[in-house]
Amino acid sequence: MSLPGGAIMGDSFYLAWQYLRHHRLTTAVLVASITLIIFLPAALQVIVTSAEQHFRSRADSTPLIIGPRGSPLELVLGSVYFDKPYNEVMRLEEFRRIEKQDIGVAIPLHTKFTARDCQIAGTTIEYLRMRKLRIYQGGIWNMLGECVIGARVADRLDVRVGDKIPVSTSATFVLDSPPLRLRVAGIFAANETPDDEAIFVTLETTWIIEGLGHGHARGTKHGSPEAELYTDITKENASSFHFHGSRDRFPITAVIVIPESDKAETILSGQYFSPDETTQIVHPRKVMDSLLARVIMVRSYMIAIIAVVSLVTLLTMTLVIVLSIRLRRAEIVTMSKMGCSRFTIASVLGSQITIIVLASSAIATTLALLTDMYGSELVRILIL
Amino acid sequence: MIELRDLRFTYAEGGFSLQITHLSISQGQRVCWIGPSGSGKTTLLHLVAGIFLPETGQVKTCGAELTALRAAARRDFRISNVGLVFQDFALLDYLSVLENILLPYRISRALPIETAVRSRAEQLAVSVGLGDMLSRRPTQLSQGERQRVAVCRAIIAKPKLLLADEPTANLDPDNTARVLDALDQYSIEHDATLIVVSHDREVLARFGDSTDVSGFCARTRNEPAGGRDNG
Repeated sequence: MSLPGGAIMGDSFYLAWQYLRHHRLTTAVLVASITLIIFLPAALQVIVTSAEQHFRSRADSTPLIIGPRGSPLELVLGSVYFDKPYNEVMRLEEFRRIEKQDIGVAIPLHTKFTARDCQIAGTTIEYLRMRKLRIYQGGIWNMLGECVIGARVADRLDVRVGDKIPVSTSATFVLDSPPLRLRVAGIFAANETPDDEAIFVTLETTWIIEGLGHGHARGTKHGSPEAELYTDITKENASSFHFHGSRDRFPITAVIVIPESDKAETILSGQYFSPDETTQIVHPRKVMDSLLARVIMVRSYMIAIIAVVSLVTLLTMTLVIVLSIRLRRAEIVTMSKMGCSRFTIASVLGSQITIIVLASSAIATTLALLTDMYGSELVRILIL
Repeated sequence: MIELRDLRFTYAEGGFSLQITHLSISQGQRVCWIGPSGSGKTTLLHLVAGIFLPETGQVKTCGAELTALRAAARRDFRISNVGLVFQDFALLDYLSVLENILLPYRISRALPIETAVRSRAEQLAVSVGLGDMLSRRPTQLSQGERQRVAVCRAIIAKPKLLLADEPTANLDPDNTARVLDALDQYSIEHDATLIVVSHDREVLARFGDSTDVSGFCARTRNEPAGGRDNG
């Protein structure tokens, strides 16, 4: 059954559509404005929620971090998210002390260095087990100077198994020694975590980078005589590398601890209460909750700002529509004189607004769905 | 066909009133209303079309007592029975020539659009020399071509009454002749009454009947009014 006035509604839409087609630029600006008004808060919500999930899941899988006294947030960002090199260090003996207590799994980390802007994480095989990192190509390190890289590092640096990655020169403290090159022993399968962005080596390799160990290898010259010299650790010269002094005094930046029980966690936490302690224990989940609370507060401010901007935009658009109706006064008078009813004129103008709002909503919904679909990817690009 | 009796109309702003004791125009008659600017020619056209309602008196057009009709009925009557041609053409820039001609069918339930109407619109356009311009926009047409489109729009619904308000004021002599020919031809072929408002002597010369409207007009001062624009 067709509704009374159905035909006239169809004609109203037709006239509205023709008007909008004729004024393409104005229509495009209106549609774009409304699309942004609808889309921006939705996109912000999706991205913030996705970022929250991302940060929380990583923090949840890292129950405790013990590290040098300083900013807990920087310790967590450096050790859990490989956000940037963490320059504060503590001695390896702290790790050994925790390990001896046999209260869970303890994993040392040394995240002070970078190679071609990628974070180097010196650690043990336990870390790879804890994070369930799977080898995609090649294998695990077998000797000093070898590394296993995250999937995104491989993509970004365009390196394969067997290739070499020079450590950033500023990282090498021994002035006479050319920068070390890490040989890629393997590539991890992507797991959409910060591990994809890191280069994993043994602790010993990071100590070589730091200049605490050295070998009697000669720098290898590549390309032209002016080309930079590198230190390569090979099967032939590996045995010549050695360390001086007690390893207990060698630096690490953090220890990840997975306590075997709540009691173990409590016992461990109790050991870091003293204000004289040079180390601290942090719960990444609590640190991230505190950070995300601020992010959510910022999001609320942003939504409030977007709401105000949207209101102003809506008022401006209302003004544009009112002015366009006034500009069309002659047309409206003509139609009225010919016998067009006020309802029909209103339905033509209403149809225009409806078409603009529907088009904007459709575009905004599509964009919001795409944002939702690629939320984690966007978080990686925009935030991580 | 058209009969105005004991009519009095004053604009709401006052200052101008129109008083007609009796005026009648028979079916198929072609009349020219003349008079200086501000003498009430256009106002009288609007009264005859039912766009304005008088304070007092009767307006009968095509057998309908317009003063007794409700607004919606008057609109339906107008779009079905009255064709209007305006001095400034009043075409919609965002519609093509063909769609402008079909506009009365787009804006009223009283005129259902059918395939026959579309082909009739095309024939009308051909008959006034616009056959190859159907998809053009009014801005792509000359003044004369625009007025011919306006004439086609006025006659597409086969009105019994054709009202043309200064239809040739903006046209050169050639286009003036073409537009008047088209109006004349329609009037003759369909026995439609044609009223043309003009102060152009050339136009006046084509019509046997002419009425000087200025005789109906009275200028007043500070006389508030009850004339209604209830189109």
